[in-house]
Amino acid sequence: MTDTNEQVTIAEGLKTADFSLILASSVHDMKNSLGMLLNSLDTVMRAMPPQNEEQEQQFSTLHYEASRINTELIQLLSIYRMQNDRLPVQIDECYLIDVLEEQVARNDLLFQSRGLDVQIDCDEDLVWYFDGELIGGVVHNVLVNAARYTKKTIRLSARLEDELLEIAVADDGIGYPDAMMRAPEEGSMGPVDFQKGNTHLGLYFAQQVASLHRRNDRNGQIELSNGGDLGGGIFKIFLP
Amino acid sequence: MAFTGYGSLKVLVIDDFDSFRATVGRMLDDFGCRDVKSVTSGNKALEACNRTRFDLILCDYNLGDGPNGQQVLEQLRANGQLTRQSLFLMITAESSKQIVLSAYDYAPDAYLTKPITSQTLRQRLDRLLAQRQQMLPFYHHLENFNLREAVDIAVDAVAAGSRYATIYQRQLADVYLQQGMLDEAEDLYTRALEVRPLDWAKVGMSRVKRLRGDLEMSNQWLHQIVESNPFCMQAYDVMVENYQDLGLPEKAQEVLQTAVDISPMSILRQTNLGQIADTNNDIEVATRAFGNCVKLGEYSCHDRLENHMQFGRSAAAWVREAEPPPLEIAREGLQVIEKVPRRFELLGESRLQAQLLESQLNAGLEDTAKAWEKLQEAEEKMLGQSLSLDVQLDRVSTYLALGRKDRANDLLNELIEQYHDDQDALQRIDRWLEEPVSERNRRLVAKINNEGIHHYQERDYGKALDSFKRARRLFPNHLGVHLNLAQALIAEMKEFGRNEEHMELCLSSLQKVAVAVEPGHTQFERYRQLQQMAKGL
Repeated sequence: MTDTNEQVTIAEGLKTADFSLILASSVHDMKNSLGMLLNSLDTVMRAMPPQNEEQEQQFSTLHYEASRINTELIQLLSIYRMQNDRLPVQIDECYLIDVLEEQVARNDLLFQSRGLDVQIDCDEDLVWYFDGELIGGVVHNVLVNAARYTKKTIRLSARLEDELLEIAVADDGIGYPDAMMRAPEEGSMGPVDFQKGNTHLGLYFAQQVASLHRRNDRNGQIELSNGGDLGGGIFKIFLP
Repeated sequence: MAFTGYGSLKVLVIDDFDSFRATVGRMLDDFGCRDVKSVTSGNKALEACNRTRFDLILCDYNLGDGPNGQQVLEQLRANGQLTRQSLFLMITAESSKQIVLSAYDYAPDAYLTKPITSQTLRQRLDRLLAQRQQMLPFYHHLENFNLREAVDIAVDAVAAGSRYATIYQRQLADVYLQQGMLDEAEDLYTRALEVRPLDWAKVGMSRVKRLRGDLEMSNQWLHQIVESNPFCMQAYDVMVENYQDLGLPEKAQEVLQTAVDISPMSILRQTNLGQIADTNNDIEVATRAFGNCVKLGEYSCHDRLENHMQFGRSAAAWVREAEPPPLEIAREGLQVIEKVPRRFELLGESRLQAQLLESQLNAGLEDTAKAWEKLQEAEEKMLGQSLSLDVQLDRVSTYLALGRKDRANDLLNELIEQYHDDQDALQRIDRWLEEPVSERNRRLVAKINNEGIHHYQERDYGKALDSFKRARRLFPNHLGVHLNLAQALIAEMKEFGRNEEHMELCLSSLQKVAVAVEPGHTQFERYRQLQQMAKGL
């Protein structure tokens, strides 16, 4: 089930010998396959619930890793589009509770398989203006990451202060490493460590999405910190 | 905000994958749905909708053979089988679906991205159905044209700060626009823009300005929108209307071309592009646009006989005019025209027109015998009939395609006589004439020519060439225009050196004159001089 409307094709890339185009095209194919794989996985997990703790653990790993690949691929495609000016921000009025609940629902199986307690702290009527799809993607990515590193709890919150929206994802894990916390402030991709599988692509994506949200003289931004009520890592994105 | 009415919903699931239908079916069952039908193709979905009015439709975008999800949606909307009370959700594998899909003519109520989990589906449905339920009275009045009641509900909801205030606001503004209540609409958009400069309010404002007749201001708003969001298709659509009303059809074509490049799947926009390019006598663009209409029309409810005919007609014109002729296009055109009688019921003159087009395209492909045969078949049927201008002009083109300029000219003279007091008709005949006969086109060609001559005298050859090229495109048989273009090209090459592209254009214009004038013709001497100057370069 390939999407015939996708304008990127491998042939197009080969003609121009543009590697990024070839990459974008195959990423698109991989993403479609992975979508199917994730779907089958969900079906299998429902049809054959885990019999013991070991199986539960294996299902959970399968699901987490597949989600992670999916997320990374979506981000790669989005970044490719950003660089080719094919990802315009579509600012609209969004209810925060809808955006947050949607991302929690999306990862419900992952949270369940890990036995996590996910809380949402957000006024039902809180409204703000942003690209719901892009911001949803950022929150999704942070949630998947948090599910991997937290112990028991993840808390999603949103509030408005001084015409600036703050969305935060906090956990009770060991927190972000120092090297990572410096990266986003430099506005670059940060230290890439392929050996540890740590390319910081997610942070780069979040940073790019945040900075696409501008209003008057203010730019959106992200912030990483440790501590808070839960004592683990805290990811925040601010949108003017 | 859990929705509790699942038990009474009529639901339709459309997907060509068995496992997916089963999975979604199970999810819906869990939510309490009792009446769920699932089908495997777009055609079966359309059949099902003929029998039953569904409250909720979940449709995959890719459906294998037959219409895709978007075409199912278009057809349902066009047939009025989807009321405002029902929900249509499109399921896609593509995450940035809005970019790919929202550029169509009709948007679904929501998109769902695969993979879909039970939780995601439940959350989305709860939200959408709760909204639908809350807004039901409003939609009900709107559907029954009780506008006063609908407006009252919307105004109250906005004042009370309803969760759906923005949606009510947008709908309300639409009602005001439709009713010509421009002050009320403008007031609403202004207030929305004070909160945030969102696209919907800006487009609304541009519509208000347009309806007030301030097309320049309307365009200012629209340019501002597409600059920050090039995917706002509505903005292009309004802009096209503005440029047409401003009498700038070339600008309108340019904007439409941009819109079509961004969103090539919209058949209505492609049709519009074909028509405008045809008015501008831009044969290549018109041919391509109508060709796209034919392809997109295969499973679309917006497929029209006229698009197929126009494709054949402009393909034939292109083949007649271009050197070397694009034979591939002629073959495509012929294939399309040959299929027309099977695809459409040909009534009245359209049967004649199809035969004339077949004749032209066969002539283009140098199958002269077949071309004459088709022409004769058509002409036998024409005997004793009074024919419309459309058919007559197709006949003119056929004579030209067969190299019978004499017959074409005789017929054109008859037509000029017959339509002597019908300016619109004369304007259409002008395209085949050396000198336009309609007042508007006489003024237009004089104006463009004068502009060109003015630039030429100022030695601004670039601008002079632009003017004469435009005149040549609009009046391809006008001898004076061809000579002016040749003269400007020669002057330009004398100053800046010989240039193959210019030389080719110059010789093709002179060739056009060569076949039309003989010694003794008023333009002959000028033609001869230019011919020598071109040779001397």
